[in-house]
Amino acid sequence: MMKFNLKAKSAIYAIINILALALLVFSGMAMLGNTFFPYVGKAVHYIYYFLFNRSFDFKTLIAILISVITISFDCYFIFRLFKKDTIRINDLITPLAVIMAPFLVLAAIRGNSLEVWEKANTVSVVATIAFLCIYVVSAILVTYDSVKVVMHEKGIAYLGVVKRRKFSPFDNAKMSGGKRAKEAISKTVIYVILVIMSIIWISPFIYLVIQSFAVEYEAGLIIPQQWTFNNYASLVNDKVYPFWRWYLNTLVIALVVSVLNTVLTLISAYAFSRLQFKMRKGYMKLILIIGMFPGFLGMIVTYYMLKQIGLANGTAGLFGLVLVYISGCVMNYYVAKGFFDTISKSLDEAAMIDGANKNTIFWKVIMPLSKPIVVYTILLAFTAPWGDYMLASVMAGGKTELFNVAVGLQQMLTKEAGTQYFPVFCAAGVVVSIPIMILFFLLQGYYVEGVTGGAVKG
Amino acid sequence: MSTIEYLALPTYKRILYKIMNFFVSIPKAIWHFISVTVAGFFVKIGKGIANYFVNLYETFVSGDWKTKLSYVVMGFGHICRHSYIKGFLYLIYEIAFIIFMILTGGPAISKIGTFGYVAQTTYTDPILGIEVSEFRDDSLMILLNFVIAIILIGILIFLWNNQIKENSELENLNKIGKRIGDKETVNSLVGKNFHTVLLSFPTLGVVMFTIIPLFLMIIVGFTNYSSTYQNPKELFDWVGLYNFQKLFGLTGGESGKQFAFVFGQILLWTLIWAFFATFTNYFLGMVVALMINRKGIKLKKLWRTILITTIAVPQFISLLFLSKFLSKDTGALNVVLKNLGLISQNIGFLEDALIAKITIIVVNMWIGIPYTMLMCSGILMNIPQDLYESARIDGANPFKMYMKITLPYMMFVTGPYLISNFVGNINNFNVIYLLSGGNPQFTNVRGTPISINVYGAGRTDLLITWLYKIAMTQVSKDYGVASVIGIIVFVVVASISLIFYNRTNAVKNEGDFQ
Repeated sequence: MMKFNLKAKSAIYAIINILALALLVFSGMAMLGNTFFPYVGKAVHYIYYFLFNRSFDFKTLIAILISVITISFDCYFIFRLFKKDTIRINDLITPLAVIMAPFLVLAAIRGNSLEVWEKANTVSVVATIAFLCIYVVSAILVTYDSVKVVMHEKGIAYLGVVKRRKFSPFDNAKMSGGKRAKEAISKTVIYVILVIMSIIWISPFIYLVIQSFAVEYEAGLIIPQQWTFNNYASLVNDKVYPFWRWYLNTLVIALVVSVLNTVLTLISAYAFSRLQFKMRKGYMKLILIIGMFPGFLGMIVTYYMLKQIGLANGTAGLFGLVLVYISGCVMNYYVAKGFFDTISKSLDEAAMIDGANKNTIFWKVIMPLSKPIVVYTILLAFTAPWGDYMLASVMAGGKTELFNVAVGLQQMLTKEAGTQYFPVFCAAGVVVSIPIMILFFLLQGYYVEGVTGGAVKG
Repeated sequence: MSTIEYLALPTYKRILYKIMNFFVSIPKAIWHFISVTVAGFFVKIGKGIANYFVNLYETFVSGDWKTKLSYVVMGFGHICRHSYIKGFLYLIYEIAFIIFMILTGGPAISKIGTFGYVAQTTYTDPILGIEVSEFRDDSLMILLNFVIAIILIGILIFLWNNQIKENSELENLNKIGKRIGDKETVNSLVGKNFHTVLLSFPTLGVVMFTIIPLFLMIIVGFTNYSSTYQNPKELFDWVGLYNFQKLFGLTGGESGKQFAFVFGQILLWTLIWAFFATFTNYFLGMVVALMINRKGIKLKKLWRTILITTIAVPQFISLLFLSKFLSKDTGALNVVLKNLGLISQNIGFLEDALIAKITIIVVNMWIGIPYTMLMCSGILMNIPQDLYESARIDGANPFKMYMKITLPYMMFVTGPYLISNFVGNINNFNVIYLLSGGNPQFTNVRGTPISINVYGAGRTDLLITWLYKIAMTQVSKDYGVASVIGIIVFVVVASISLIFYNRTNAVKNEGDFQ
């Protein structure tokens, strides 16, 4: 493999990115038109058909807008890698955009018509999946590079990047025969335990992925007899359980909530950590006591209040849900506050001597030093709405289109008498887990830093 | 006894001494709490109230006519002394408050005793000739307005206080000759008072969507609000402590006994579950972290990455999947075990009561060990290695080193985490509800299911999943009983937190840790 420098690598990734995007759009339209790789004339025809011959509704417009914005941010970030030698934390937003973009493009193009998947022939489906893979792989490579550069700059003990030096005088001494045998036995025992544990930990997920390709659920067989992609198609097609609807709901909610939640949590953590005001301790104790009540207790009243305002039904219900998520974010200020407490106060004082007020200190001094905790908060805030069952079920109030993914899948599994929906559920599980898994693996180091740095005192 | 006498005891007597000490210290702590903390608290409050009124009187008497007038018209003093923005804001709040009280607050407070008389009236529309119903009194609305009125009164008192103090300060400054105008107010917003800017929106959110609903639901615990009494068609009423009595089984009869039995079982299981879930995760996670961190183990990153797949995959997917995987008749695990010849009949992993409880704890370990393992890995890397080396020189075996060095360090650093994890597990909704749904159902001694009489509670239900079932899935949703359960959860959690936070803080303040 030739040694490319950073600029050349980013150029290659950018080109792959744009190509993959363009081909994805084309193959999406190809699915609309049931042919593969139309000629340019036909492409124009399909663009015309796509833009002018279908009924737009609000949803499609939003989806298109989001995808356009995401893709343009995406291209902007990758092209910006051209201009720099070091990579900053903003560039890590790229993986988010990169991962979400294909889904959004597909959703925008697919829009309302459910016959697309039925009309798609195998070739176009394979092409789409192939370009999705190229997309994701290039995204991972870009991010891996940038993460390595950032980690190395900051010297965070990221799971092996910074090696610990051993000073023990016993390391170089030769061990006696008996001791060596004991050491070997204990190492073997540990390895065996670790291997067994790894098998136990991963096997349910492997089973999940395998079952998602099964035609029907047979309890006796681990590997199903017949394989099909139908489960993934019925995620989109099913009239009774519209999974794509739930996915889109949860995705939009998660994106909005992650941004707003992070901002508000960090602001309140800064206020509690750095600013001195009269009721500071009292406020912290109040939040502690309120956090001891089970959160579900106030949900019914919250639903009632939102109904009075008019934010409880239909798509407005999702706004109501977002509002409730945001207003609860102050209660989670502990970790961020713990982190801010470890930043030395002399930095504040130096900045104040230079004439900064508290506002400037927050944005220019504290924020650049808190990248781990910012990423940690964004990660948690993004993954929380995916798994929230209690609140989402109250806000949806029984209407299937308003469910989020957790509520919908639970209904799918428990309301059906037989096990015919189990493979569909497995397919849904795979589709939901993969973006979050990728996000989590990429941002592992920040998660560890957040958990150890902010959550415990010491 | 002194340290030397303690060290002179044999091991079993030391254990006995430790146990005895633990039990004796609980009443001592309670007595200390009552006599010192509570009594001191009341004395401080008494003095504070007396001081407050004396201050008010003095400010009134020693101020000029502008100050005296601003006791009645809020913000008047500010406006007269050129602090226009603040003055007008105070004035606007007072006017808005008065309007609100006249329109909605006053009627709500007056009706709070009876929650209104008439829910809806029907009359014949003269023009169209059909029956039209008109809604008159809405009980929940009355309660909501009442709570909002109370909160607004509280804010009024607070703001009134504030403006009187600021007013007297302004008056004193004016006497000296300084003027505080609008420019200083705006400037202080990014300086001294930056916290107002930062915290105002979050506080508003918390008050609106957390404090008000909580307050309301606590009050609802004393009414009979349920889906049969639901507004706007029907009114509900105060029932006092009836809901509490129902829960503790004091309403008598067969259903009373069933309630008491079920409630006791669920409370016991909640505490047992929280204890096991927290401590198995913690200790096993620490053991795994130690194993992976040990010198000479290769591929550390690989083991860690494999183990944290359970964190990466969203929890609800794993739980829903496992609920089907472990089911008795159609689950894959039973089939695999049968094929391997290990069992002859299907095991009801989630259907038999005792096995279901063990299964749930094991599944929670599967999900939770990676979290504690990650945390412990991070902390273990920070223990200075020379402690271990000096211990090895002194001839300690690995177990002793673990007990004396690693464990105390970990407990010191992660003490608060353990407590908040314990409290969080008491309220852990997802694991129980998505995995077993709270089943199997309760049956009485004769084997007939009684879960129907107790709002669908099951043997693996926690207090919070029972609360969810009552409020969402039953046919007659009795919100009153639901909020009583919530109040009980709060009492349990608060008492545990208070006891253990104080103990760990006391230990920390001994300034021990080298």
